[in-house]
Amino acid sequence: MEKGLIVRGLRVSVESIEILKGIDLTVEPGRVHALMGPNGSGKSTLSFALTGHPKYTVTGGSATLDGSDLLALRPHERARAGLFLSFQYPAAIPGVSVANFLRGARTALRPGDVLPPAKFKKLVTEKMQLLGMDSSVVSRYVNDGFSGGEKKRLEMLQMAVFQPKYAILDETDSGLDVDALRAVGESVNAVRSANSETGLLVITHYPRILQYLHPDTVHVMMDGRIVKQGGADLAERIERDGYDPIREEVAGGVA
Amino acid sequence: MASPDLVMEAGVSRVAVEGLSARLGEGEQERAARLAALDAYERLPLPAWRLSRTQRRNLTTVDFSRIVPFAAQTPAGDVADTGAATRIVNLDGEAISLRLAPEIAATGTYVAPFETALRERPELVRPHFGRIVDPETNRLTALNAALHRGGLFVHVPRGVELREAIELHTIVEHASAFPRLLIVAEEHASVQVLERIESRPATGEGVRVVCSVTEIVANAGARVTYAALQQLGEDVPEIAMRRASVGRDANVEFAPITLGGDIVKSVYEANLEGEGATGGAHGLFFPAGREAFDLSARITHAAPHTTSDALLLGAANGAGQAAFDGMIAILESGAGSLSNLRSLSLLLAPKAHIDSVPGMEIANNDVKAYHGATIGEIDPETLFFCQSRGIDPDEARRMIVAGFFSTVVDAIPSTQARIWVQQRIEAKL
Repeated sequence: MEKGLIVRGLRVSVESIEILKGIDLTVEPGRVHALMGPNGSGKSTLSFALTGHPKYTVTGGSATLDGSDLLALRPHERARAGLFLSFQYPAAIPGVSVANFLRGARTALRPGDVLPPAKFKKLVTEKMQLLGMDSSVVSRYVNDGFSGGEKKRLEMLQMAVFQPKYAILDETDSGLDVDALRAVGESVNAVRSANSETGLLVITHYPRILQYLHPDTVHVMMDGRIVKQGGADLAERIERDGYDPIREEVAGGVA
Repeated sequence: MASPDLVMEAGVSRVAVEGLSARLGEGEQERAARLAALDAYERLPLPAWRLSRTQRRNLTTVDFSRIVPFAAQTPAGDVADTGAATRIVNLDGEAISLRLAPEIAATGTYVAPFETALRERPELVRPHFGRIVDPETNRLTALNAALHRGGLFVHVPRGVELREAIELHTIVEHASAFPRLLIVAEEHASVQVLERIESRPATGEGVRVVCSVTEIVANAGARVTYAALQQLGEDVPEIAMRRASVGRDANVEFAPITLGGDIVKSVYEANLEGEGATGGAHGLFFPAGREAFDLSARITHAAPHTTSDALLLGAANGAGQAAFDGMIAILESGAGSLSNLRSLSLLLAPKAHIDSVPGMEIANNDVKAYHGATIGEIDPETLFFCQSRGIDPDEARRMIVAGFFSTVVDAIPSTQARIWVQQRIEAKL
């Protein structure tokens, strides 16, 4: 069995329009991959296609998670296989408390490891402290009336409590001010240090969150294809020069 | 001396009314009032049925000539205990269990089945009985006045604040039920009443109905919470009329919880009659299968500086249908009043249907009034979000619907009753 979140030649359409035109990508356990690209390049499409959003149709290629065929699984089965998505815009569930949601989801994700209430409470409290979250959050309704920063923190709390094998962080940095960004960046690291086997795919438009996350590999996506790969220095280059030089490079290469 | 036997004959008749009055050992005044109501029943029209999409089943399709007014056998007393300190259980109209907490009696509060109260304490009952809901309002308020049996009377003396809810549990098995409730809270008294109405599977021929009337009197500064939880079988229609008269600085809160029945016609009204009175309705309804509910809530601001707040949450599954008509009326005498009326509806199946029509009648310019209604389905993005956390779609829907109803369910004044409601909501999904 090949370890990793492995994507090969993935093609994805939304309402008959092809968005992803053959994606190859491998996220190994414990590694951090950044997926960068301008708006509209297809980054979020990849995260929804991998997690099984019904609006996205896979028309070709494969995706496996530690050897299991993700594309054959329903969305909740993909999560149970160990895949987590931190949503760019997580949904609110009015009337369902964070505590009940976390408990229900963790039970669904880890049926063989259901904690007694006291232990579960301890786990959540510990992770909230790690993330610098106020303990009153557990009795609020999931994302209901949350600020942008609070939503992203709650996504990180879920990642910390569920301990997935692979996590996709879709624009976790978007809409955050500098302080919130630092807090979220540090919280991702805190979660990683507690659970170092989790492989991360960090999707971002801006390189600034990568100051905190130190990716092993940076992939650049444009127009539904990965056009360039490199180390952390590639993110620094994008920070300095933007995407235009890469776009010209790619166009030149094709010509 | 044994009580006279009831005459077992289907339908609403003079023989049935006279037999019941004799069985209860009533005096001439009560007997005459019942017969007058029977006369009104025969001449008055049915209340309006507004659910136009449910032409096949409505109030006119209930065959009142076939209703079973009384049970032939003495009911068996096997009803699960809710643990409430003060509780009356009525099975087929007989009070089979009656428990009054000594602490409540010690406050001078009087609690009894309605007809017992009419016999024992007529001076407390008669001034209000039929005053808040006139028996001659329509055919079915008259029916209740002719055949009322079981039910509840509560009188809370001035300044007495009761913490524990008083429960009335009405169960329909072999016969119809005509509960009559009267709650009187004197000045600055406080009380919670929780009514629960259920049916068991039919055992014989004939039509079983539940036809109830509740009158609430909240005198100056009093607070009354009245939760009515019902789930009847798909063969049992329910018609209910509940009205409160709310005095100066008094507060009445309704919690209408409508979960099942063949057809349900249920009306809640609060009349804010004293300056500074407040009234609220926080309820839910959930038709499924072929059930059809016609529900109304009306709050009338008749005095200055009165406040009302109403929130009705509705869901419909299967081919279930409901109409909710919320009406806020601010009279010319209601200067400085404040009112908020909202309804939120969730459709869970393609054939499910909810009409929600909040309305306002405002006759004074110096008021603030808001109303709004939304209707929708479960948001597919919310469903996907739950699935992405490992929760299967059925469980996710249960979670989302339970969350949708939670603001109302959490306010029910009894843990046991909250769980009862949660389980019935789950069973309808």
